[in-house]
Amino acid sequence: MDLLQPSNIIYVNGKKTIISNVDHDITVLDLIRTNLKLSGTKEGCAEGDCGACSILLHDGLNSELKPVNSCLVRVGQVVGKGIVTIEGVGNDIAPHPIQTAFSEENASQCGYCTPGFIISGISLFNSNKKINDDTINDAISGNLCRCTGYSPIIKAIKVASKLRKPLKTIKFLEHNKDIKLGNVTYYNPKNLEEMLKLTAHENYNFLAGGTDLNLRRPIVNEKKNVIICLDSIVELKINKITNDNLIIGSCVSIEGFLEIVKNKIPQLVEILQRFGSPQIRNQGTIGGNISTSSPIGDLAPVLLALNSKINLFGHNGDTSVLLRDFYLGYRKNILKKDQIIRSIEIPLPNGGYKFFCWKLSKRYDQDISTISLSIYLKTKNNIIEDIHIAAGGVAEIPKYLESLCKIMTGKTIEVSILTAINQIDKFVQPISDLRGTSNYRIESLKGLFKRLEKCLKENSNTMSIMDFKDE
Amino acid sequence: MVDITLNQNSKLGSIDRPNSYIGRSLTRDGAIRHLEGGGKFVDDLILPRMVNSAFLRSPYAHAEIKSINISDAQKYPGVIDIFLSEHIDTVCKPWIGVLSHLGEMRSPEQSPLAKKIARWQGEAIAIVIANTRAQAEDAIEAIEVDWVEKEPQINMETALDKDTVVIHKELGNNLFWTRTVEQGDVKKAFKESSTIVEATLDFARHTGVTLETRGIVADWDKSEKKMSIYHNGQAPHMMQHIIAKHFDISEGLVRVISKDVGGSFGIKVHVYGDEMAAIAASKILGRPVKFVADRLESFTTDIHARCHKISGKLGVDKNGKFLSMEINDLSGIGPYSMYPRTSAIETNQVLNLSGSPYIIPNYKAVGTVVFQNKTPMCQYRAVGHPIAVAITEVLVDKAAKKIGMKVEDIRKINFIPDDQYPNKTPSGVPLEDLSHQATMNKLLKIMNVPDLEKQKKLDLEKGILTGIGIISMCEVTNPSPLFYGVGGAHISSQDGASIRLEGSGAVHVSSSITEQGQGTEAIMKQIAADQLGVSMDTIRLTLGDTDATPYGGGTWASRGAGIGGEAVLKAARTLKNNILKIASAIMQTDIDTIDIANNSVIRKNGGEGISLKKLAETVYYRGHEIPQGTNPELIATSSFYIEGIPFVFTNSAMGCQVTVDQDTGLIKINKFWVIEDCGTQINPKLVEEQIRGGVIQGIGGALYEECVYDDQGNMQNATMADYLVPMACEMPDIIVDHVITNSGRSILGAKGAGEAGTGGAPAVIMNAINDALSSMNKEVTSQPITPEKILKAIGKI
Ligand SMILES: Cc1cc2nc3c(=O)[nH]c(=O)nc-3n(C[C@H](O)[C@H](O)[C@H](O)COP(=O)(O)OP(=O)(O)OC[C@H]3O[C@@H](n4cnc5c(N)ncnc54)[C@H](O)[C@@H]3O)c2cc1C
Ligand code: FES
Ligand code: FES
Repeated sequence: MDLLQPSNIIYVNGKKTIISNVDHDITVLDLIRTNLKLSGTKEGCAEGDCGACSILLHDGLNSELKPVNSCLVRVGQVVGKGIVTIEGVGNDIAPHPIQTAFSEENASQCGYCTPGFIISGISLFNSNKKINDDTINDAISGNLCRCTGYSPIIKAIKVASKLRKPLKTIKFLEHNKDIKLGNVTYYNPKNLEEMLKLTAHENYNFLAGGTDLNLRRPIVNEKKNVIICLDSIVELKINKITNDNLIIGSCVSIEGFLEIVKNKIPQLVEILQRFGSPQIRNQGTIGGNISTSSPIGDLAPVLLALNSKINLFGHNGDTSVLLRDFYLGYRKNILKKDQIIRSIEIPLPNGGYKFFCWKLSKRYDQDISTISLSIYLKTKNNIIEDIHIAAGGVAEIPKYLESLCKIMTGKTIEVSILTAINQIDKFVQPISDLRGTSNYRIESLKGLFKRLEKCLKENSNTMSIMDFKDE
Repeated sequence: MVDITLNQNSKLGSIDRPNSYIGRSLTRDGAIRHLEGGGKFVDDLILPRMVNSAFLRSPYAHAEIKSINISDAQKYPGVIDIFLSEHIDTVCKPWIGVLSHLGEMRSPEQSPLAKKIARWQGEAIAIVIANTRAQAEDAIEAIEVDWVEKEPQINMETALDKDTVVIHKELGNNLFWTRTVEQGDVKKAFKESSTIVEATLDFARHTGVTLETRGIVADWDKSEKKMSIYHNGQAPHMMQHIIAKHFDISEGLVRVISKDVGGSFGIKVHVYGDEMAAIAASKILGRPVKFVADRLESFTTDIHARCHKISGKLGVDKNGKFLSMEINDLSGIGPYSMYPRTSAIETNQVLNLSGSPYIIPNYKAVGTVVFQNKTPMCQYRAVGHPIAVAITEVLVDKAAKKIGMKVEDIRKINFIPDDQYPNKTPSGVPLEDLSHQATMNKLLKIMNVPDLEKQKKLDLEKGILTGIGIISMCEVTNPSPLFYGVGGAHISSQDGASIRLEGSGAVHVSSSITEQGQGTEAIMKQIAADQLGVSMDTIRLTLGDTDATPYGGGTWASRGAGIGGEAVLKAARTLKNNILKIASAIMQTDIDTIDIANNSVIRKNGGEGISLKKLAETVYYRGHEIPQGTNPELIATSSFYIEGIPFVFTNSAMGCQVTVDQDTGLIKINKFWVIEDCGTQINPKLVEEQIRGGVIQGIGGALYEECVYDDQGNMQNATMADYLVPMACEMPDIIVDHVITNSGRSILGAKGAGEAGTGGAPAVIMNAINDALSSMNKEVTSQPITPEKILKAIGKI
C-alpha cells in the first residue's frame, strides 16, 4: 500500500470496510448507525455514561477485544483497526452462548441496553480475567439498565461463562492509519520524531483516548484542522519497572495502568477499578487524565501523594518536573503548545511506608469524585515521621497539601490526625456544587482522616471506601 | 423451566394437564431479537423521503419572546423549513390538561410550541426540519430570538404567596388543584389519642430516564389523507384518538404503531408538545418527519415526578391502635397540567393511599398542587405511592417507638385483617382480596428479625450504625373506568383481544396491550396457549398497531396482565368453544366428550381425535364436509374492564437492612426482602423481574435521583453523569417471595406487579436508615437520602 495515501479502511465485524463520505467530527456510533446502517448499537446518552453504544475494538494482531463507548470515539481514531458490533457477535442460527443465556435468564426486558451488555460480557470472556461476581460486576459497571434491576444480567453472564467462548477476530495488518475526513486530517505518527514534525502545522490538537476531548463538539474548526493522534507512538506505550520506580508511557490506558500496578501498588486497585467504566478505562489514558488537569481527576491525587514525576517532550527535547509543580490553575498546566506528557515516573512505595487512597463519590461506579484523599506515610513508635497528602475536589487543582503535611509530621498519630481534622479548613477551600457542598467536602475529608487513624491503629489495610461495614 | 408447585387458581384448571402454561416461568422468546441487535426502535426506522427535526428550546425558565428571526437559519445547508407556533397552530388545535371528576382543575390552553412566553427551560419554541438532525441543530444556532427574561416562580412553598409571580395571569394565582378528603372526625379523634406523632417529609423531583429517549416518526400521506405514526409510546389507541382530534383527521385514518419501546415507566404515555409539532410538520410538508430526543431534551422535557412536601400526624391509643391520621401534601407540577391524564393524579393517589393497609377510623388529607416554571410533572411509575407509603410507614414507626412497641407489632394490630375484605382505605376507597397479615408474617419469618436485631446490637458496640426497616403497602393496579374515563378523558380502561385459528393450525393473537419490556408478549402467549390447549410455538402475536389490534388502553398502571390478560383468556375460551362445536359436528360426538390438548381436539375417553390443523383446513378449504348450519367462526374477540370498583389493589410487605457510615455519610443496603401478593402469577420469573427492577428504581429515588434546579429555574444536572441512577453495584441482594390472593374480579385472578418495588422501596429504606440513626436520636426526612444529608442529620454539618 502507498504509505503516502491516507487510508480509509476499518474492519467491521471481520469485513474490510471502506469509509467514504464521512464528515470530520462524526463518532464511530454515528458511522455504525447512519453510514453502515447497523442499527443494533444504540445511543442512550452520547456522553459515555450509559454503555448502550458499546462496541469492541481490536488491532488485528491479537485476540484482545477492548470494550469502548462508540459515542466517544471518532472515526479518525479507528482507521486501520477492527471493530465488532452486536451484529458481529452471533445470530439466531448460530447464537453466542451469552445470547442464549440472556434469553434463558430473562436478562433483557425492553432490550435497549441489551446489545451493550452483551458486548461487555463478551469483552470479559475475551480477556484473561478470572470470572467471578467481582469481575462480572466490573465488566458491566459502565452499562446502565433501567428495567431489569441487573440481577438477571449478572446471572446470564455467569451461566454463559461456564462455556466462556471467546469471540474470534480476524487478523490483519494495516500500516497507515492517517485519514482525511472532510477538511480535517487525523495523523497517527508512529514515533515521537514523526510527531514533532507534525507540530509544524499551524493549528492542531493532540488526541489520546478522546474520552475527555471528544465530549467537546466540535473539537476542530476551520483553522484547526489537524488532529495528532498519540495512540500509535511507541515511546508513549512503554512501561519500565525497576526496584524502586515505575515508568509508564502517557498513552497507556487506565486499564493498562491498572494491570501494571495491581501487584506493585495494590492500594490503587479500587480507585482504578472505579475509574469510569471498562469502556472509559480502555479508551482513556493516564497522560490524558493528567493533562486535563481536572481538580476531580482520579489519578492526580494518588500520583501526587506518591511524589511522582512527569517527563515532558517537545521541541525543546525532554524535561522533567514533579507532578506537584505541573498544575497552574483550574484546568491549566505548564504544557507548552507543542509539548506532551511523555511518561510518568512513580516511586514505588517504600517498605517502611504505608499508602492509603479513597475516592468518595455519590455512586460507587461510573461517577466522578466528590473528594478523594491519598496519603503516603511512615510511622515509627506511633510517631508520624514523614507524610505526603494529596486531595482531589478540594481546590481548583488536584492539591498536594504541603503545609498540612508539615504540621502533621513529628507528632503522634492521634495528635497529628486531630491537628489535621481541626485545621483542615485552613488548607483546603472546596467549592459547593452538585456533588456536595463545601461543608460536606470538608466534613467527609475529616471522616477519611478518622478512618486513617483507625487503619493505622488497627494496623489494618482498609482499602475499600465501602469498608465501614465489616463483613 | 421453573414450575410452580401449587395450583394458584382453580378456575384455570389443573396444572398437570398438557399445555398448562399459566404459572410457569417460560422464557420470553420475544426478547431474542434484542440479543442480536435486531430490536426495532423508532430511531432505527428510516422511511423514504423522511426528514429529521430539532427544536429551538427556551434557555430560560420564564421569558417573553419579543421577536424571532429565522431567515438566516432557513438558508443553512440541509434545512427544509422552520416552523413557529403560528405555523404549527394552523394544523393542530390546542389542548387543556384537566379532568372533571376530581373537583376544579385550572390549567390553561397549551399548544405544541410556546407562543409569546416560554414557561420552562426546555420548552419548545421552533421546530427546524432538515435532512439530518445535525443540520437541524446547526441551523438552530442561527435563529435569533429577542428574549426578555421574566422573574421565574420556582419554589412550590411560596407559590401561593401574595407577592409571588403568577405564571398564568388569567388564573389569578398559581393554584392548579386542591382536594380535601375527610372521613370521621379527625379533630375529636386526635383529642382522644394518648399519643400523637408527627413528620414532615420532602421528596425531590425525579424523572424516568428511559434508556431509549422519546421518539416519533410522523408520516402524513396526502393522497390517502392518512396519518401514520411510529411512536415509542405506551397507549397507541389513546394517541390515535388524540391525534385525530387535534389534527382534524378522521380517527380511522390515523394509525399508531408502537413496536419496540426502550422503557417507559409512565414517561411515554403523555402528550408532548414537541411530538405534536413533529406531527404538524409532517402534515404541513407531506413528508415523514422524525423526532428523537437527545438526552438533554429528555431530562428537560420528559415529565418529572414526585416533588412533594408532605406533613402528617398519627394519633394512637394506649394500646397502639390507630385512631386518627391527618396529612397535608404540597406538590409542584411545572407550568401546565399534562394532557390528557392531568398532573393531579400523583397528589390524588397520595390522598387516597396514605394509611391504606390499616384501619384508621378518622382520616383527613389535604392536597395542594401549584404551578412552577420547571419541567411539567406527571405520572411516573408508582404514581404517588412512594410519598403515601413513606408518610404512613414513617409515622407508624414513630408511633411504635414512642409508645415502646415493636414496629412489627403495631402494624399487626392495626392491619385490616385478611379475612375482613371487602373493606375500605381510611380515605374511603374500596379494597378487596388483600393479605397484609399473611405477607407481613412471611416477611418477618424470612428476614429473621431477631437475628438482625442481634447483629445490629453487635454492630453498634463497634460503632457501626446498622438499621432495619419494614413496611406494608397497597399498590394501585388495573384501574377501572372510574379512574380517568369518568372524568371525561378518552383513555380506555377496557382492553380487547382477538384470537384466531389459521389455516396452518397456527394461532394468532392480537391485544391492545403493548410491550415495553414487561413481558406482555410472553404472558399473552402463555394465557392463550394454556386456555386453548395448544403448544406455545403455535402462537403468534400482534401488539402495538391500531390498524391491527383490538381497541384498548395499552400498558400503564400495571394493567396488562389483569385486564389485557383476562381479555385474551376470554377470547381463547370462546374460540375453544367454537372449535369444539365444529369438532363435535365433524366427529359426530357430544361436545362434552371432547377437549383440546397438544394442538388437537381429543376424545376424553381416548380414540382418534382431529388435529387443529386438519380442523382448520376442513373449515377453510373444505367447508362442504362439515354438517350444514355449523358456525364456522375460528376467530373470537373479547373485551374486559374492571367493574364496580375503581382499582384492583395489590399489597406487599418489604424489609431492608442498611448500614450508615458516620464519617462519610455513605449508605449501604445490605439486604432487601419483598413479599408480594399480585394474585395469579402468569409467569413467576417475569413477576420477580418486575419487582426487582421496581425496587432498583425505588432505590434510585430514595438515595440518588434528583432533578436539581437553581433559583432561576435552570436544571443543573441534565446529563447522565450528573443525574445518577443505580448501576449494577447499587443493586443489593433482593429476596422475593409471594403470597397469592386472587382477584375476584376476573377468572384469571391476576392483579398488577409493576410498581410495588418503586412505591415501597423509598419508605422501607427511610425507615431502615432512621432505625440506624435512632441510637443517636437522629433522623432523615428528605429524599434522596444523600451522604451529605446523613452528615447533616447527625449534626456534623
Ligand atoms: C463517562 C466518563 C467517565 C469518566 N470517569 C472518570 C473517572 O472516574 N475519573 C477520572 O479521573 N476521570 C474520568 N473521566 C475523564 C476522562 O476519562 C479521563 O480524564 C481520561 O483519562 C482522559 O484521557 P484521554 O486519553 O481520553 O484524553 P483525551 O480526551 O484524548 O485528551 C484530553 C486532553 O489532554 C490532552 N492530552 C492527551 N494526552 C496527552 C499527552 N500525552 N500529553 C499532553 N496532552 C495530552 C489532549 O490534547 C486533550 O486536551 C471520565 C470521562 C467520561 C466520559
Ligand atoms: S451512548 Fe451512552 S455511553 Fe455512548
Ligand atoms: S432492559 Fe430496558 S434498559 Fe435494560
